[in-house]
Amino acid sequence: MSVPSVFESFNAKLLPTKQLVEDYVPSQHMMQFASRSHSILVGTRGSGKTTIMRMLQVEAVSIAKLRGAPEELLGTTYYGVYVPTDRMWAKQKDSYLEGAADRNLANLLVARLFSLHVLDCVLTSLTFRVTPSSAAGEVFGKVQLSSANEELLVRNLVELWELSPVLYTIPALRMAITRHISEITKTLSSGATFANMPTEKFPSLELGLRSSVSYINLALEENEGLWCFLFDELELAPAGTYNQLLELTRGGPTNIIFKLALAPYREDNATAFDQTDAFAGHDYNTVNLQAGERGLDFARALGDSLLRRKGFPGTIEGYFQEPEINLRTAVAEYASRDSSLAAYLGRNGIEIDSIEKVSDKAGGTLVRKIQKNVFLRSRIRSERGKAPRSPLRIFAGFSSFCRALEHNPRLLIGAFSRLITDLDRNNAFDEVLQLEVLSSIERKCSAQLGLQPIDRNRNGLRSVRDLIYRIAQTIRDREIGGVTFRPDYASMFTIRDSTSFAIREAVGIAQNMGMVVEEDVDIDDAVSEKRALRLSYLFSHRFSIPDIRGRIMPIERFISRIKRSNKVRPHLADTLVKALKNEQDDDSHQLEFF
Amino acid sequence: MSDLHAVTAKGQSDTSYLSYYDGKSEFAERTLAFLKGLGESWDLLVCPGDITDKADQANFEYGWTFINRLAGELSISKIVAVPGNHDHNSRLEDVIGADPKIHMQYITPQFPTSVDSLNEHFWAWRWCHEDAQLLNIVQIDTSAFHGFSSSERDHGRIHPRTRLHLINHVKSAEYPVRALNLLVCHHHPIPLPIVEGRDDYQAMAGGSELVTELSSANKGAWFVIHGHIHMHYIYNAQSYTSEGPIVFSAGSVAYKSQDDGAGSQNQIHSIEIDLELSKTNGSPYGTFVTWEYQPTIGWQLPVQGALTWRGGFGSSERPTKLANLIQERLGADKQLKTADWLELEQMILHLIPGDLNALEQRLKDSGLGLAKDENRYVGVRRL
Repeated sequence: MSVPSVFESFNAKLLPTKQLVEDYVPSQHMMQFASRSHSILVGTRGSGKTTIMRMLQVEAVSIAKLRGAPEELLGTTYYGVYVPTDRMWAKQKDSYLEGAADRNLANLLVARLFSLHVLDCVLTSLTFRVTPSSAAGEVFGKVQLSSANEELLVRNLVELWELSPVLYTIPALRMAITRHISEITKTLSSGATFANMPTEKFPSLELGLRSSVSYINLALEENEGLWCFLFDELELAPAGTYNQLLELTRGGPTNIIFKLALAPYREDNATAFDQTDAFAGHDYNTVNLQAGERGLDFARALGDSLLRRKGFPGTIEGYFQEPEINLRTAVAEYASRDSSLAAYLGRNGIEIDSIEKVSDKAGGTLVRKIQKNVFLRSRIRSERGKAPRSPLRIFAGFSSFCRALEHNPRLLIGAFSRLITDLDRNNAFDEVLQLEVLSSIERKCSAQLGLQPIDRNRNGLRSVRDLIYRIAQTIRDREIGGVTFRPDYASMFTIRDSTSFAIREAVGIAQNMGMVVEEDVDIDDAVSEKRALRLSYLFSHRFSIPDIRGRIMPIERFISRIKRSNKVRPHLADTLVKALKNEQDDDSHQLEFF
Repeated sequence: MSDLHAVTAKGQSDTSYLSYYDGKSEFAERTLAFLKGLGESWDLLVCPGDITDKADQANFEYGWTFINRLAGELSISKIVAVPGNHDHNSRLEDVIGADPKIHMQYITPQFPTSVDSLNEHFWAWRWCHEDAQLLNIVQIDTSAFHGFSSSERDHGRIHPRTRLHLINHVKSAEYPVRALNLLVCHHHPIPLPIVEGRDDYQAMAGGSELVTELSSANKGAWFVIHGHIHMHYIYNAQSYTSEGPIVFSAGSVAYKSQDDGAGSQNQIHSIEIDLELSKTNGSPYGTFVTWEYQPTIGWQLPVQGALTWRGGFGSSERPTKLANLIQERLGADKQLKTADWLELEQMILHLIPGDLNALEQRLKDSGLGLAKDENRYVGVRRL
């Protein structure tokens, strides 16, 4: 059996609906998102947005209810229409607009393409609803549609959307949509104007959806039929679509719910949380898949499910070897060699000799708070001037492993799958294997970051990876490994209005990939920033930096610090660069234990 | 992809589109680019022979290299090929050590399979069998007697002893039951009245007996792919049971037809077979898509021809019964509603084209018709 890549994880978009429902692991976020209200779901790549969205489509709910739905889906009473937005389509859209002789017309045609795509998705869901089920008993969403009503419905839709099917049936209408999309696409590809297109008659997305749903409910004789449009990957949709849909959550049609999923950062440099007139919390609720702890419980459930599918007993956590490291001993040992640390402990009334046994009341709480910092500091300073050693065992263990992957479902599935293949040879996931898997994932993610260029900037950064590494180096060399021990090291950063577009965009790209994470923090007035971000803990083991939140600083102070340190201690920068270069070139880690 | 008829000399470029100059062929590049652009994946590449034209050995090498290149670049793990009458040197024109097949036996990559033992068996016994786990693959050399006498090269043949040898092997315990049995040969196994407008003498002698006996062997469904006649056709072969083989004539990829008769266009076919349903039904169940080559345009879905661009096989329904069912469901309505159409659509999709034509005729007799939109059936309407 070949060993799967850690990225050989599933893509929820491609899974058959039956399998999606079978493999579904309940999520705390679903309960909130599945409510009978407009919602926005924000999450990075692989965070589970598409799974959640697709689970709400009528086909999936129908299957789930027949099989005994999870609690969060039991109460679903709306008919979900899943509307995917394809990354390839988004690239084509950009090329159409770039090559267009008449950009306004091209924009209109691109918007029409999107509207037709949405209509086709509606008809897909409708087809499911009107097709008899082979399952016994009442099936959610199923309904009868007579030939006469179907004809009437299609005639109404044809008039509304200016289509020309060969028959007034739903399959014929779908074929007409396909044909029309093909015609528009050919016109856009050729860059020609679409002189005969009666653009002024084509309905807006809002009017189109509102009217279509009304016609459908009429045909199905369901006056109160409630439909839910599940727009996925909206950051790829035509410009303005997101804002247009957001507007519809306020005072939009009452028989339609909108649920929107998107990445944290959009290309128009806005964030998922920028608002127009719609008022968050009042018109829609926001579910953020990236903020806070996704939950070890979820990771456990996911891992256990994978184990069962692959035929192994027990729990996923049970297979993880946990590192046996006494951090207090490490603190005690290092304190005797680091005068700044010793001074800090002294100021807080902690004797070096009693560190290992000091009670919480007498300073144990403080020691616990700084021990990871100290442990990493001792490693960083001992390596100064030498080639970096292997990743630290401190980052192994089930909870650390999951935290490094930010509890991202796709990464977890890929990583767990890789680990589980090893169970053919061993009966546990030892620390070496865990760190190998983390390193492999980190290298692949870093490689992807390296492909994303940054516009010209003052800091000499050429790619998004450069930015991430620069921040990590600053945390490592100044905040943790600096001359003076800092109990309140900085590891989080903010984006200001004055932050350059190039840096802002680079951070956005990294955020959408899950390599930069937004955190809920209280931002004090002195900093007066909008967003607090940190590097993904995926980089912690590589750079020996803590996987715990630290203090916040403006991003500029992370980026520019290396430059100043270059002036003071040029050999350090050179050494680091050489070390990093060696590490990047050498794909085979010779693991040693610290 | 059948009947490539690869050529190299300038004067022969009227014979085939697959013509090579200085080792390169524009048609080959276009075909590869087209297939790559489809973005699809295939498990097998089937080539039922006539890779070269008039036994030209250099051309055979070009054609076979092209087939292997296609497989490599499209990530197709297995090629299933057989020689055709044009591949055998039946006129013995290589004077020194003349042997109709020797150039094929020593070519690189190996031909017709990549496995020594299979090739040894094929050249020795004129057939070979591979258990490919999900299916059985049987390859027969129906041109094996070409070069023995001048009349043999006019038709195909499976010798009675060879046939018996093969049938006994299929019936034996060594031959496993699989969801599908794929038989690839160059000549059509059953004479066809459409061939050359007169009694067909080119068919495989012994072929009718072969397909009848194979289907009686109780080893699963049989799907036969052949070339030679440069016509795309699909039909149910004769059998003592209703689970007879499906025979698929692959036409020609590149041979330049001298007439414009329907069905003689240059074609590539993508066939999808549902192994589970084939096993359940005892008969191959699937669909196919055909692309045609137009010299000035390239590869595209056909706009005319004996067959639609998209068809099927394996439906257990009969045209008359389906027509009656459609009428019953339609009742007095003007059109068939979606729920009924979707149920019937699957049955219609898997009718062989002949049955589909019959269905359309039966419906027409009742004042009904299958509605099409860009070669895709979308419903039933009153005419």
